[in-house]
Amino acid sequence: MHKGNQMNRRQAIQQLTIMGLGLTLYPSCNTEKIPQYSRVPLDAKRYKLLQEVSEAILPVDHITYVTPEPRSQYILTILNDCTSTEEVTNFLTGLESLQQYLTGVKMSDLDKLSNDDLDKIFDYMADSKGQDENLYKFYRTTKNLATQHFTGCEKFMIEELKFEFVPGRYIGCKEV
Amino acid sequence: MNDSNTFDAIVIGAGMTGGWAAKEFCDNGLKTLLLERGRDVKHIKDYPTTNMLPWEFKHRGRIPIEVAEENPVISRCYAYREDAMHFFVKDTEHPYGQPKPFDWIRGYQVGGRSIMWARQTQRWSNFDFEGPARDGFAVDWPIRYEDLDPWYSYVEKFVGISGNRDGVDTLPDGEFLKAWDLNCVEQHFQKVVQENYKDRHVIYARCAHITENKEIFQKQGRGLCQGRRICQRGCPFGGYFNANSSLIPWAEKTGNLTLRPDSVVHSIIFDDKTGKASGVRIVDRLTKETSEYFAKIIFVNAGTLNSNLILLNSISDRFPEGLGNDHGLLGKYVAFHNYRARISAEHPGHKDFAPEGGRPTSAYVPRFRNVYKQETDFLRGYACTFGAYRSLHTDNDGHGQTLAEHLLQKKEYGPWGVGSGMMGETIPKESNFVRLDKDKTDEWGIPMLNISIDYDENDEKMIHDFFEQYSDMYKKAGLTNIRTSDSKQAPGLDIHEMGGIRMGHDSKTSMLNKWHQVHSCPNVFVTDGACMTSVSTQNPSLTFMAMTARAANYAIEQLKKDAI
Ligand SMILES: Cc1cc2nc3c(=O)[nH]c(=O)nc-3n(C[C@H](O)[C@H](O)[C@H](O)COP(=O)(O)OP(=O)(O)OC[C@H]3O[C@@H](n4cnc5c(N)ncnc54)[C@H](O)[C@@H]3O)c2cc1C
Ligand code: SF4
Repeated sequence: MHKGNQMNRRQAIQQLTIMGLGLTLYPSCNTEKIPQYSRVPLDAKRYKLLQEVSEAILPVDHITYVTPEPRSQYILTILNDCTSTEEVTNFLTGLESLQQYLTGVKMSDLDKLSNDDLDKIFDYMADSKGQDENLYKFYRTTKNLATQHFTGCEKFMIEELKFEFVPGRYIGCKEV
Repeated sequence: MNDSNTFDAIVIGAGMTGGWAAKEFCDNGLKTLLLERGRDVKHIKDYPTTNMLPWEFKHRGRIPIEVAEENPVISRCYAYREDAMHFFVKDTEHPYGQPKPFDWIRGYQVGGRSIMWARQTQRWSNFDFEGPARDGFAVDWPIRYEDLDPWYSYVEKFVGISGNRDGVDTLPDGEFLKAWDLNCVEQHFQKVVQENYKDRHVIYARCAHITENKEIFQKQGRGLCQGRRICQRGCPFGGYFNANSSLIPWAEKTGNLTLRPDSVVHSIIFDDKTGKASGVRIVDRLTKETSEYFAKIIFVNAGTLNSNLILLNSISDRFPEGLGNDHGLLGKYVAFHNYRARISAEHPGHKDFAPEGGRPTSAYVPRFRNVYKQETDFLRGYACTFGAYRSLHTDNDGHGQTLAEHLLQKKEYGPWGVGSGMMGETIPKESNFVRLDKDKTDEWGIPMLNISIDYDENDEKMIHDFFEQYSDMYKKAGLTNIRTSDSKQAPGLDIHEMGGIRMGHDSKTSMLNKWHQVHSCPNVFVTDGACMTSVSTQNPSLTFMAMTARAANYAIEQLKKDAI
C-alpha cells in the first residue's frame, strides 16, 4: 500500500475511535484549524456543514473504502483549484441557502438526524431546481464530487470497475 | 574554434528526428553534438508520474483552472492533463504571435514530443508522394516511396511497430510485430465495410509498441508493452518508442555523443568564404550566455515550426532573409492535418461481449477518396480512426443510502460506443506561412514567431464529405444514434504541422533537395516535418524518422568522400 493510503487509513481509524467514544471530531468543537481554500472561503460553521452534507449524501465505510484524502478536502480542493469562479459562487450561495433552510426547519446538526430526515433534506435540495437554482447546483456539485471521490478510490475502481493498472493483455471479445 | 567546441556533426533538437540523426552519426563514428533547448529527461528516472495510480493524483487528472486560463492553447491538447503536463510547453513561457488562431503544441526537453505522442505509425505510399504533381499543387516531391521503403524498414525494426500485413495499396505494409485484437465491434465494422465498398478497408492502426521480444529491443533495454495506455507519462518498460528510452541512450553508449541540454540554438553561422555553414550560435537557457559550436554538417531537427524559426533567424550577408531563402519561400507553404470532424454512434449488437484488458491503439481506415482518380469537388482525402469501446456502468441515481446502494449494485455494461476522427490532408499554400516578428523577441533575444495559417474551402468540403460517407458507412453497419460534430478547432491542435522548408527538384521553387540539403548551403540538412512538400493523411512521424535516417546516412557517405 502506498504512503498516502497508510496515512488515511490511520486517520480513518482515529476518526472511528473518537466516534466510538461518543465524540465528534469537527473543527468547531476542537482547536483543529479549518483548512483554508482561498477561492472557497468557509467559516467553521459552513465547513462543518459541508463535511456533514458531503458524507451524508453518500454514506460509505471509509475504513473499507480508503481514499487518499477526506471527502470534504477533495471537494474543496477541486472547487478551489479546478472550478470556475461562477461555479464556486453558485456553490457558496447554495451552501448558504442550505444553512438558512436547516436553521428554518431546526435541523442544523446533520450528524444527529435520522436517515429519513436526511433523505427529506436531500429531496428538498434535489427538487429546488427552478426555485432555488443555487441550492440545486450545490446539491449537484456536492453529489457529483462525492460520487467521483468514492468511485475513484482504489477498492471501488479495482473491485467494482475492474480497473487494472498493468493489464498485460487485450481480449477484444470476451463473453460477459 | 578549438577541440571542445568542434564536432563532426551538430544536431539541433533532441526529439525523435534529432535522436535518429544523432544515433546514425554516433554509430558511424562521428563526434556528434546534440543541442536541446530544454532540460534533460532521463528514461524512467525523469518520469515522475509513471507509476502513479489514478486516485493518487490530487486533482484526479484535471488541470488547475488558473493554469488552464493562463494557458488556453496548451490546455486544448487532449494529453495536457495532470499526469503529463510537465512535458508540455506552457503558452505563458514561450509566447508566439497568432495573426490567425493556431494552437502550437510543443514539448521542450530531451525527447521532445516523442514522450507524449500517440504512437500511430503509418507509412506513406506513392499515392501520397505523387499527389502534388498529379493534382497540381505545391511542387513535385523529389523522392518516391521506393526511396524511403528501405528506410521505413530500417526504422521500424529498431522502433518496434505493431501491425498486420493488410495488403492495402494506400498504406504499404512494413516490418511488423504482432498486433493486438480488434474487438468484436471493430471486426463487425470491418466486415460490413469490406462487403459494401471495394476500395475501403478497416484495419488495425499500426503503432510504435513492442509486442514481441527481439534482441534489438533487449539491446535498448526495452520490454513488452503491457497495455497500460498512459504512455504520455513515459513508460517504465520502454514498451512504446520514445527518443529517451532508445535513440539517445543508444547514441550515448557509443561514446561519440555530446548531449547539451539547456542550449537554445539562436542561428546557424554561415561562412561566406566556404559557402557553407560553419556552426551554430547558442544561448544558454539558464545563464543566457552565448557560445558557438562548429561542425562539418548540421542537421536541423527542432520540430517543424522551430526549424523554420532557426533558418529565418540565420541571417548573413549572403542570406539576409534567412538561410537558403533566396526566393522568399522559407516559412511558406505550411500545412497540417484537418482534425475538426468527428462522428460517433452506438452499436446495439454484441450485447454479450465486451473487451477486457488494455491496448494502446484502435482501428484505422486509410484514405479512400480521390485515390485512383479525382472523384469529388475537393482535392485529396482523409483517413480516419475507428474505435469501439464498452465499459461498466454505475447507477448514480438518488442520494444518501440509496445512492450508496446503487453505486455498489452489480454493474451492468453500458451500450457499445463507437467513434471516428477524420484526418484530412490540407493543401500547402503560400498564404499559410510563418515569419519572424519584427519587434518582439523572447527571453533569449530570439525573434518571436508569428504563425498565420488557416483552413480553406477545400477543407470545408472535405468535412462535409466525411460526414456523408461515414454516416453511410455507420448506417450500413447498423449503428444507431449517429452524431457528427465539427470542433472548429484551430489548425495546430492536430500536432502535425509540416512544411515551410519544403523539398523539391528545383532550387528556385524549393528549399531542400532530395537528400534534404538546403540547395544553397549543402551542409545544412532539414529532416523534420519542416521538409514536407505535402502532408498526406497519415500520422507523419514515422516518415520523418525514415527520412532522417536516410539523409543522415547520405551525409555520412558524403563526409567520408569529403564531398560536403
Ligand atoms: C499528444 C501528441 C500526440 C501525437 N501523436 C502522434 C501520432 O500518433 N503519430 C505521429 O506520427 N505523430 C504524433 N504526434 C506528433 C509527433 O510527436 C511529432 O511529429 C514528432 O515528435 C516530431 O519529432 P521532432 O523530433 O521533429 O520534433 P520534437 O519532438 O518537437 O522535437 C524537437 C526538439 O527540438 C527542440 N528545440 C526546438 N527549438 C530549439 C532550438 N532553437 N534550439 C535547440 N533545441 C530546440 C525542442 O525542445 C524539442 O525537444 C503527436 C504529438 C503530440 C504532442
Ligand atoms: S501502453 Fe504500453 S507502452 Fe504505454 S505505458 Fe503502458 S506499457 Fe508502457
